[in-house]
Amino acid sequence: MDQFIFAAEVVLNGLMTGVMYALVALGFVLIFKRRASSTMPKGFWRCSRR
Amino acid sequence: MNAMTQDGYVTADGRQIGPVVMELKNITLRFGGVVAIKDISFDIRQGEIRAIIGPNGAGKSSMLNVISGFYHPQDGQVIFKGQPRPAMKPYQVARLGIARTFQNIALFDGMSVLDNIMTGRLNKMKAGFLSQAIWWGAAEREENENRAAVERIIDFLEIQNIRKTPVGRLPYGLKKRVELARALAAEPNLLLLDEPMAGMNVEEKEDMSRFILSVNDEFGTTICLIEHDMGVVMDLSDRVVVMDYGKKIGDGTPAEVRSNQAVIDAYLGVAHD
Amino acid sequence: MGIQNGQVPFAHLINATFGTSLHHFGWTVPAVLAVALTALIMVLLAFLIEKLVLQHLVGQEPIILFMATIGLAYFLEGLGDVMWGADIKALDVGLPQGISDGIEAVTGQWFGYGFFIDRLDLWATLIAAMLVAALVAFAQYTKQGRAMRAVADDHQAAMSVGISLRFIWVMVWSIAGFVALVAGIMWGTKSGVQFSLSLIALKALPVLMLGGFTSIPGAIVGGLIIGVGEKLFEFTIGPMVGGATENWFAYVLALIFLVFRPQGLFGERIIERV
Ligand SMILES: Nc1ncnc2c1ncn2[C@@H]1O[C@H](COP(=O)(O)OP(=O)(O)O)[C@@H](O)[C@H]1O
Ligand SMILES: [Mg+2]
Repeated sequence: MDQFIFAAEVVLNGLMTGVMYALVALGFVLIFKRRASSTMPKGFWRCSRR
Repeated sequence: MNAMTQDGYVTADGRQIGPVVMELKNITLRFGGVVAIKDISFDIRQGEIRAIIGPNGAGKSSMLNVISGFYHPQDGQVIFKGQPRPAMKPYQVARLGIARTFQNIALFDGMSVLDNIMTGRLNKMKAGFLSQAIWWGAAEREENENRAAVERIIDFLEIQNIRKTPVGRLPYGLKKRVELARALAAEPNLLLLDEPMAGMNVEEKEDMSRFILSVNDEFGTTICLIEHDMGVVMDLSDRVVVMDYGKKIGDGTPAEVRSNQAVIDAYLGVAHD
Repeated sequence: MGIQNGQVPFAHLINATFGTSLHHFGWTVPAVLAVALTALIMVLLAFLIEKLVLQHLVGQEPIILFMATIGLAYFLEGLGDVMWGADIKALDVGLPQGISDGIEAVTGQWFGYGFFIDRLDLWATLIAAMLVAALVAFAQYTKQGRAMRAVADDHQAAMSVGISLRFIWVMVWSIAGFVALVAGIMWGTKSGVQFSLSLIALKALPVLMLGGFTSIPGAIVGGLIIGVGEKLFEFTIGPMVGGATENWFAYVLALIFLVFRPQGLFGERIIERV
């Protein structure tokens, strides 16, 4: 029982740390997202040859 | 066709076409050494379905990109509703009420069909940030209105059953239809369609033709479309511009264009490519 | 502090600003002024970084951007060291600290065993959770959030529906900066402002590998998994291998993911386009 309660505390602690990690990662994602697609209008140069 | 006047003309099927809304005057567009558009002029009238046809690489998409602000011509003028239009970014053109689709389909693959179409209405949303944040008053009303409008378009284009599907998973033909839906969501005055039927089977082409006609008919939307399939063009359009190697080689009703020798040559020339 | 990313250095600069006011001039800048000043410096720095570094990396793989920002962070960190010294500075923005007696008492009653929970941890978690929730709501339900997702998905299509890319970029920069600011302040309060905190920010890499580099839900779930995972691992396996597993657990987990699911939990499937 003691073990269990202690584990619960560890999980809670981990969650708190995790939220912080999430926030840091979120900052990155927002920047990657805007970069994720290239600024070049895709497809305009490969003109279709159907 | 009845006599064309300043104010417009009446089509063979009795639709009243209005005055010129978009005029392209001596447009020349170059990419380095490649001349994509050579000194082309033509106009688009209120309420008509205007087609641009021509072989691959003729400069049709480039022309549409000039109208929608994606490309900026080195020479010539774009005159919108009688006013020469300064060089504009695509988003500014969109805000003038000019919507478009792309030859190679540009959708938001990660979003659902519904969300994709909703983006077409972004410019219709005016609610301030705060009222959006607490989902109150103007924001709520606006969201509901926009949702209702989008649902109407979904019904109109018969895509109810894929409303929630992520667009990335849809087959090609349906993607094209969703792209049309998104453009319609903006309730444009001028709708630009770059090869809306390319790569479709006969049945899909018929559906798409029907949608294009009823958009024009029911909403009075002016449409400028690029199409490869001569038959489709003849059925749909009121007037046709023919391009070849960046030049305009024909302009007129489908019947006029079909009997134009330069056009016949150009088309026979590429039929075997 | 503040190595999270391109923004981080600004958070770090804030802290540095606080440090300066305390240690060098002997007078304290009012918090409002300090924040305003920091914001100004952040915008300036963001502009410079954009112009000098990121502009040249447009269209590169996320990992290259990540390395570039880490490199930038180290550079700014070094600069900070030179300017303000490398000693640890306390950052106190008025967040409550210390073990929460209330929780200890209540949990003690319930379980016959009191939880020792730092009040700062509690507040930080609360603020962070609220921020995450607000961001998700923003991205999902507001007009600007929709536009942001649209731009993230396809620039060409976004432009065609009337979205100004520049506006969205400025907005994203501001949000990212704000997130970094909050994260920076909270980490700073927790561990003190010291420049060697970079290591913690480097945890963002395994979190992103887990969640996918371009997924907002991925970042959140990834962060939570790694946070909980490394604490649990330390608790269960740690004693058997002599502890300190928190230092490497996240990276090993990320490595495993790299092998079996390179796009991460929520990342877009990697398809080679022909
Ligand atoms: N972004 C671009 N960069 C360079 N050349 C381009 C670009 N867009 C179009 N072109 C060139 O302009 C010409 C016309 O292309 P396009 O307008 O796509 O033709 P169409 O749509 O009629 O098939 C082609 O030679 C093409 O290579
Ligand atoms: Mg084309």
